[in-house]
Amino acid sequence: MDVILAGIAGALDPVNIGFVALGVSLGILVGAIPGLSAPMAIAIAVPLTYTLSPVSAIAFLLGVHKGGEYGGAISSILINTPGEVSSALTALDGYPLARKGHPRKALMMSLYASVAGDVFADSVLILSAAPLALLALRMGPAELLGVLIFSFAFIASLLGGSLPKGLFALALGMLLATVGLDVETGGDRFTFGVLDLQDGLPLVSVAIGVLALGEVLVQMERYFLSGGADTEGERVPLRGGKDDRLTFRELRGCARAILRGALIGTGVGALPGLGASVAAFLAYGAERRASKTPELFGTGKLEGIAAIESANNAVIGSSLIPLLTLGVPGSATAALIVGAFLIHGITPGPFVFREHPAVIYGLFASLMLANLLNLVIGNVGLRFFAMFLAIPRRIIVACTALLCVTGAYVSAGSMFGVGVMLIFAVVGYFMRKLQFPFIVFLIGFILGPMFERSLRTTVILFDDPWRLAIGHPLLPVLAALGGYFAWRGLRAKARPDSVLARAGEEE
Amino acid sequence: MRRADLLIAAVFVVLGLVTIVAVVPRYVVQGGTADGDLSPAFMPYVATVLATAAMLLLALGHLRTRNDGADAAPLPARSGLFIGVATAVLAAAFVLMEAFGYLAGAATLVAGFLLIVRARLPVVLAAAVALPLALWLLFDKLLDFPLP
Repeated sequence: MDVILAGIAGALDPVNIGFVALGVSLGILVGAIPGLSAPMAIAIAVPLTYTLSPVSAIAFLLGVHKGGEYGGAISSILINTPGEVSSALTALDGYPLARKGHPRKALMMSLYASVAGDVFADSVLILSAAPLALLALRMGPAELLGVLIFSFAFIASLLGGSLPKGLFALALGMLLATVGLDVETGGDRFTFGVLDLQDGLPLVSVAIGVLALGEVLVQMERYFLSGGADTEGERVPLRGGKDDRLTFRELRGCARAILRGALIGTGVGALPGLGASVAAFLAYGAERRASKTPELFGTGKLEGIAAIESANNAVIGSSLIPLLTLGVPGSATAALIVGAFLIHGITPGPFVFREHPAVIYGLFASLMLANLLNLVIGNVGLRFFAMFLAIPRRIIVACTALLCVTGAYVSAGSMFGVGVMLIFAVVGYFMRKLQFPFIVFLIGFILGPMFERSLRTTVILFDDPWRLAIGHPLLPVLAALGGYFAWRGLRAKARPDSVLARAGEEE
Repeated sequence: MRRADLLIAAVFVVLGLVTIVAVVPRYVVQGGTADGDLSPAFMPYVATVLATAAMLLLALGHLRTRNDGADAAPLPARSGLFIGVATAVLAAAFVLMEAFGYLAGAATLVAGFLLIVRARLPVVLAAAVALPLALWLLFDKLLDFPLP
């Protein structure tokens, strides 16, 4: 109990509150600007957290994520251009509603649904993480190996629309993760005599390159090819008509949609590899099917906005469940959060509840604090955030490149980190152009060392495969399940435009 | 995408085979620490074999289906021009940053990228001066992160 109170006290520290508020504000701002996304912002912001306490650092990054998911709705509703992939569907009902003279109503519904989805998923996380971690503590390296094999097969087969490309991206990530000194023998692997490579490729530089600067290059190319023309829809002014306030009755009428969205988002977020956009698409479909007037969806229906925004925000909290219980990041954002944990000497996983309980409970309290601040800042600062939509997108996108370079230098402390980041930016550009799931690549890069450790320990501990299979049945069961997903992925036709393929473009 | 996929698959199958036959044996230390331990080369081999097999699968998948003729190039010539110019700007910024410091490299990067997206000259000049300076003041002076 003392640990829980200490965690809450740490979260309510004025410095921590300040950083969470800064994170939420930054997230809303970044989310509202089309072309910038929360994972991009988190990748760039990770180096800024070096000097913060672990709780403030991770709460700041989660604040960016929470704010970013809501911020994406602002541009969807006001200029019909989603700020985040997961907010693409919000424009379907949000923009028509705004054009009918109700922009504030659409934005407020989006804000309340986002916060409700967040609170729901965070509550599930808080209530389930510790018991699940206790279960996870009973798992040995063999079981962890099974979980990783299943996660790899699941992610590679579902994201990106093509299993061979998913497998290739995963294998490439795992291969590049082996660069550096081998932790067991101290021997060189692919260092080519370069001293900087002995520590391996820096995670933050690779992540900023692939996630942020790679995306910047793709967006810049659009402007280069179109002669610099911006492609946003007609902007709806924020001042609406007299009946532009969201009434309590309207909010209550959307309660079911919000709950349905939150349930779907929480479930999707807890599975590795799926992201906010999958949750948003599923929630919108479910809401349409449940509605008595499905034909009105796409014309400005509040339930549509509520379901999507609740679902995409609920993913944030529940995506921390596999991270905190198994140490497996299910998304690129979660992978970046792992980077932030590691910077502060904390390895996420079941042991974290035993080794750093105050940090974890402080984090839980900070998540709830971020929800409250999202509600307040999103409400009060709406007009301020909407002002940034007036800045031409291409200027912001081009200038973001400098933030990437600066972030990579601050993170690595040398030009080596910048060089790695620039190389991986070009890799990220080509992966996007050639439809290779770069998220799968990043997950392979991050989980590769964990996979190798589990594999090597399992091989040392169990020289008899039959004893291993009988004594640890979870490994063959999960491996078989992974094989089933891989087989299904192989049989399915490549679907580059599917929801799941698009999910590989974010998170 | 079919043509591009076949080309990429061919390139990566060759690269994969070269890595398995020549690169891993030469640049990865062989032999584990104790009896039963896997060699440090095991994981690079597994990853490379998996990547090569995935590219073979990609090629076979395309070769088994008929070419319907509608195969737009994923990287048209103008995209090649763009990535060439953008890479040159990034390389120039990197070299200048290393040789003359953060402000020179950062200004080159911002100016180069804004010119690529066809921003107007006054905007290019203002951003190329103000943004690097602001970030330099923030990190180098305020947050005490020494920039190059």
